[in-house]
Amino acid sequence: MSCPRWEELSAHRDGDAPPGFAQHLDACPVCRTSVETLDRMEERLLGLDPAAGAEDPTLADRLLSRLPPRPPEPRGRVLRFALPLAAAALIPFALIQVLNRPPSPVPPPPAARPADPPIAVAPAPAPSKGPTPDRRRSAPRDRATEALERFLAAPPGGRHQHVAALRAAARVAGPGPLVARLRRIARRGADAGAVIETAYVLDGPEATTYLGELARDPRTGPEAVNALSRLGTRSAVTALVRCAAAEPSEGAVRALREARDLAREVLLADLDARDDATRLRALALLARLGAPEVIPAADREARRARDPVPALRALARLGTTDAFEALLSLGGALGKEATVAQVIRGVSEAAIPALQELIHGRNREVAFRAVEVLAGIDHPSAIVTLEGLLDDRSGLAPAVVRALARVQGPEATELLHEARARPSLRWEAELALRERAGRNL
Amino acid sequence: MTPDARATSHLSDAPNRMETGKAQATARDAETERRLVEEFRRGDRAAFDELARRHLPALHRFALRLTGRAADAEDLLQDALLRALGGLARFRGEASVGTWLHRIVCNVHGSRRRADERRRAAEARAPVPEAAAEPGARDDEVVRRALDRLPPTQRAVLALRVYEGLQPAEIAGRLGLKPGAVRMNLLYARRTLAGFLAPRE
Repeated sequence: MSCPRWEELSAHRDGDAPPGFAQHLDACPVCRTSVETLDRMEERLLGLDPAAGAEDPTLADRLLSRLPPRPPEPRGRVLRFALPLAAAALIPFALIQVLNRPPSPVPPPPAARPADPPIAVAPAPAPSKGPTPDRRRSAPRDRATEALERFLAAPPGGRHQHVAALRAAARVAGPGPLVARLRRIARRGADAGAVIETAYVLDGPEATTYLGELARDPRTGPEAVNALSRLGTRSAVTALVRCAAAEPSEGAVRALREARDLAREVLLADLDARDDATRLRALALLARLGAPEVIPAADREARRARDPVPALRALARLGTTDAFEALLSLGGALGKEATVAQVIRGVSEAAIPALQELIHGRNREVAFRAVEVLAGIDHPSAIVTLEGLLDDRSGLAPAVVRALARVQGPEATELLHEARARPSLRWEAELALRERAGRNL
Repeated sequence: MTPDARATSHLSDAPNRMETGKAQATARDAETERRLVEEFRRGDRAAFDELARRHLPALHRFALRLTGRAADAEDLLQDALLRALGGLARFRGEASVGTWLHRIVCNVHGSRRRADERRRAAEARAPVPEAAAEPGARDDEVVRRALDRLPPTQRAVLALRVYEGLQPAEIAGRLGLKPGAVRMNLLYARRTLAGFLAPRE
């Protein structure tokens, strides 16, 4: 059995391990460590149970006494029933008005109108006084369209007066047809800011999909991203994720950071996608959000992908010490130390604090690799760290000298000369200097 | 049958009898709760109080484990009870009252967290503090902050698994989720926490 994936380790914790797991565990120290880590994690959680000894005999009385004597009526429910009831109550009055009206001198328009577009036309209670081009305006959908147009036509500072009417119209007609209408108006060249604000007020999946499309357009992107961010609903965040995956602009990533948990939930679901590109895009975005889930996911991707570089880059982008530790370990496990070093050099200075921490960490193998990578970063603080290690008693000084042998530049040469002055490093430094001299010939 | 055999048979039947007894008690509870819901629908507000009292100890533990703080847990429970009071008349009885109440607590917790985060972002435009520990931070604090970073459903599922010792199928029943969703939430929660904690062990 090959090393189990996280899914199987987690299933093992729930007593649902795959066949052969126990035998593998006996033989594999890496997996044993993972399982022990999970065990210890749950022990620590148990030790921190916030509910331990928290029985409060007065709690029920306190909470129940603060509740209203009667159930609160949900607001949506009131509106849902109040509007149809009011409409129904008005019908008899309308009929009386119609019946009392004198007969119209103008003959009614022809009954059959096959050319009418399939928009709902409210049944006219009485013959009108003449041909009525605005007759269809009485349909709820057209009243909604009117509200939409009024909102769009209002000056930016005066739109707030029309928000309630537009929301009410969207409730009656549904946001879908209104968003479709908005798209048509926008195509005819409406003000982009007004279109975005209208979509924001309409809300709903259709509106967020449209805002997502606008977010990908460089002309409307920042404003649309801002609108999606302010909405903060699941569908808005999903639209933001799709937008950031297609074009990871700073604004979109910042908006995802603000949406935080929802964005992470959407992206974590993408990590399980079958499509490699979706998984890798999710990984890259999660890394930019600083999500720690990147570490196990990138590990899995790097091990199974033909090209591990995108997964390695995601770890480097995450930028935490844990991420760099995973990166260096992966380099060793995959035999891709040179690729890992190159990826880390890609983030350059950002890696230095983490590498310094890893050099002084407990994992010796990672510490040696960190020295090698640090030596390849052309930065004053990297050189200062390496210089400090020459006098360090941690046993890393020979590794520093060997790493410097492969590095060009006057600072490395200077450090090697310093190392040659120390009796314990003399031969190692001499060999390194000769190696460099030979390479430079 | 010899006396020994009778005794052995008695012992081997004991777990079955316990299971049967438990099932009977559960059925009795469900019946009582159905009756209380009906009474509430007929206008008896005291029926709601009695229902709430039956579940409040478990809900309080659950809320504490979701929020980590007693004051937040009490606020959360207050909101959840208000929502339950408004919705009990429409309770369809597809799940147990306990499941329904746990789900409400979980949903209210999610809404409150999202609202908090939006408010923080709007007010200060300051990034939400990272859970990753600064050097020197206490281990307990690291765990608490790592827990705070978990999405509400993951935290709820993990709390029921770790503290209540429920199996994924039981958690699914308690929260009205599918067992597969419970397993995935557990996986993500563990992976996140391990990401924080493992290298520091």
